[in-house]
Order: sequence, then structure tokens, then C-alpha cells
Amino acid sequence: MKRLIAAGMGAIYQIGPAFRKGEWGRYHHPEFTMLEWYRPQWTMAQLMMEVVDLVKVFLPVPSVRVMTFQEVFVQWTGVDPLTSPLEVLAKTLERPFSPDSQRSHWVDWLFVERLEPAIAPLDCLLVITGFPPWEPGMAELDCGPPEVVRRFEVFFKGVELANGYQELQNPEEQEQRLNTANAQRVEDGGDALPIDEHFLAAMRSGLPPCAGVALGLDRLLMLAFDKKNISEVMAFREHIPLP
Amino acid sequence: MLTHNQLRQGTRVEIDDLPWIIVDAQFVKPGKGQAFTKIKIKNLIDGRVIERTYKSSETVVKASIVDKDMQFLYGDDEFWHFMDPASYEQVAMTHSQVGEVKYWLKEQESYQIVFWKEKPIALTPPPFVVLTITQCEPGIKGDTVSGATKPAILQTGATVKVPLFVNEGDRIRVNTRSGEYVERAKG
Repeated sequence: MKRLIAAGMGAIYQIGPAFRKGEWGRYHHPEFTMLEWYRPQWTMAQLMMEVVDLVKVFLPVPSVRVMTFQEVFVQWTGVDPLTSPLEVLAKTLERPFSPDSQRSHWVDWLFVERLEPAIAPLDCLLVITGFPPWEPGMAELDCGPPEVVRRFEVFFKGVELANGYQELQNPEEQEQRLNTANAQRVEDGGDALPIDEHFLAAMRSGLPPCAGVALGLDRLLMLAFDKKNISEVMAFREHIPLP
Repeated sequence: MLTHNQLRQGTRVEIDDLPWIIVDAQFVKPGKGQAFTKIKIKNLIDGRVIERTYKSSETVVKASIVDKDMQFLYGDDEFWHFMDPASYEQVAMTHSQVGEVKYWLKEQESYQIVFWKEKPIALTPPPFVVLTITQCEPGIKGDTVSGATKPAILQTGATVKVPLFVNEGDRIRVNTRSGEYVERAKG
């Protein structure tokens, strides 16, 4: 889609299937339906409001809270994901601390074990912005302080509904991130993805300033129909392969 | 060894040197970060439920558990005794292991016993058992529709609410999950 935007297509959207191998769960299915759209010349803040408006069409949203990644952790886990010493993060989780561990590791644990259960009972639509630099996706950097990326995620009842970016415009930075992501995939025991040279060429020819977002439609429908599992709103579902 | 995506509801695992059954498993992937599986596990010995989270790189030991159907023989001051009808091998379970199931123990009846590391740790009664009423108020003839009930004490000591027409000495079918009267047993 970004190739089309670089070619001057303007604002575009698509609704289509997306695939995540091996991801099974109440809110995960290997094939799901994604709604993705881009707004050239828009800021991420404008797009965030558009996402909120769309979600409100489907869900009873009594209020909207916009908080930074740092603020949500401070409020619901009591520690700062960007600055608290790693020993403190480990202690909060009651897990043994190892000095060579990475901050991202502890923050992921905190998210899963402390933050997610805390935000699940909230009535409001929660928009989290300012993600840490170790989870950049395809977002522009914000030099801060604190140094973060211009990325947002939308949560309702603890379910992540959408992920959006102020889209990265720098082609060298983009190429480097694709390579870093591939190195991580290999380290995690997966296969490297082929580098999309057409995409990088389009980036070099110039991507206009642009905000983009992807929203999990099955999750939105699941919440709209008050279901507990995304498979309840899917026409066809895969069966979990037995161990 | 089970990898994180093999942690499924119903799988029995060994954690902290104790046997557990997974009652809920949830795949979680925060942000664009690493994948986790959150499990809710029930202890097979004392029934307590706790939560644990595992990273995609971690593994969990599968519990070495065997289920066997065994016949109830008799109870004494210390133990309840069961026998494997195929091998005639006998096992004894303590009062605390048997717990409330003692109200549904009937000689010759078959019960499912869970063995962990070759030791019995829990037992499940059949869904229905037929037991004799040893004590209750006399029956009222003809009253089969009013829906009124009276307490009846069974041969095992269990107290069950029964309809008014049922008599002492009658054999009744009882649902062991709910502890409720189902019907008078025929024959």
C-alpha cells in the first residue's frame, strides 16, 4: 500500500486477510481480517481521532483516554518502563533478575502479567501513544525526551484493536529496521523474510508525510457482538493442530 | 516437554514439582514484542487455581499421569480401598483425597482414579449412582406432581432431597455432580 501512496494514490484503504503462523488463542487466529488505511499529509493525532470515531460506530464507548506508554505503566504497574532500573522491574514481577537481560524483555513481562489485567476492566477506549524505541515497527522516531516512536495502539476491555504509525519516511532507516526484524526472527528460530526491494525503491523515490493504521476487524466484531472468542465471529476457522 | 504453543486447555503439566491441569490457556503478544502463553492451572491434588505466564522460548514438563477405572471395595478408619478389576491390584486413598466423593462410594461401582508418578491423587465418581434410602419420612401415595420435597438419608450418609412419594428402602438414582435426585431405580 505504501508503494501506491509513494506513487501518488492519495488516501487508500483495504480490507483483507492477514496471516500470522502459529498464533492461536481467544484473540488470535492464524488467518484474520485486517482493515488498513493511510492518510497522506495527516498527523498521527488526526488519524487517532478518526480511529476512535470508527470504533464508536461499533462499540459503546463512554469515554476515551489517551495516555503515553510511560503513563500507563506508571499508573497501573507503579514502575517506569523507560527509566526504572531493571532490578526494580524484575522485583515488581517477583522474578529472578539477571544482569545481562534486556529492558524490552522485562517490559513485555510487565505488560502481560500486570498491565493487561489492570486495563481489561476499564470501560473507556484506551489509546496508548509514544512507544519505546525498541518496538519501532514502521513509525517515525520522536527524539523526546524521552526518546519514543510515533506509534499508537487502541485497547478496549484489554483487547488490542488497532496499531497505527506516523509512517517512517527515511528509506535507509526503513531498510535497517527490516534487517533488524529479520535478525530477530532468525534468533527466535524463524525464517528471515525476503526484503521487499520494490517497497524500498518506493521509499527512496519519496513517501509523503503520512499516518497509517491497521485494525483487527474480527476483534472489533467480537466486542461489538459481546463474544468471548474471535472464532465466534469468523465464517471459517482452522482447528488447532494437536501437540 | 511442551513448548508454549502446546499449552492447551485440558493438558496436564508438572510445575514446581506438582501436578496441574490447564483450565485456560491464552496466547498473548504485546505490541510487536515477543509471544507469551498465559495459563490458568488447577492443582490436581488440592484443587487450588493459579496463573502462570510462559515465554515462547520456555518449555513445561508434561505430567506423567495415568487414569484408571477401579472398583470400590471398602472403607476403614484410615483409608478407602479400590481394586483394578483387570490386575486385582489394590490402592488405598486417604479421607482427605476422597473428600466429598465418599458420599457416592458404593461397593462394586467403578471410579476413575488419577495416578501421578504411580500414586493415586484424585478420584472421580461416575455421573450417576444408584443408592438405597436408609432414612426418610413415610411416602405420600399419589403425590407425584406437587414438586414438594423432603430430605432422605442414603446408605452412604449423603442427604438428598427427594419427592414426597419416595419411601425408605427405595433405591434412587442420584446425579453425583449436583447431588440431586434423578429418579427411582427400576428393579
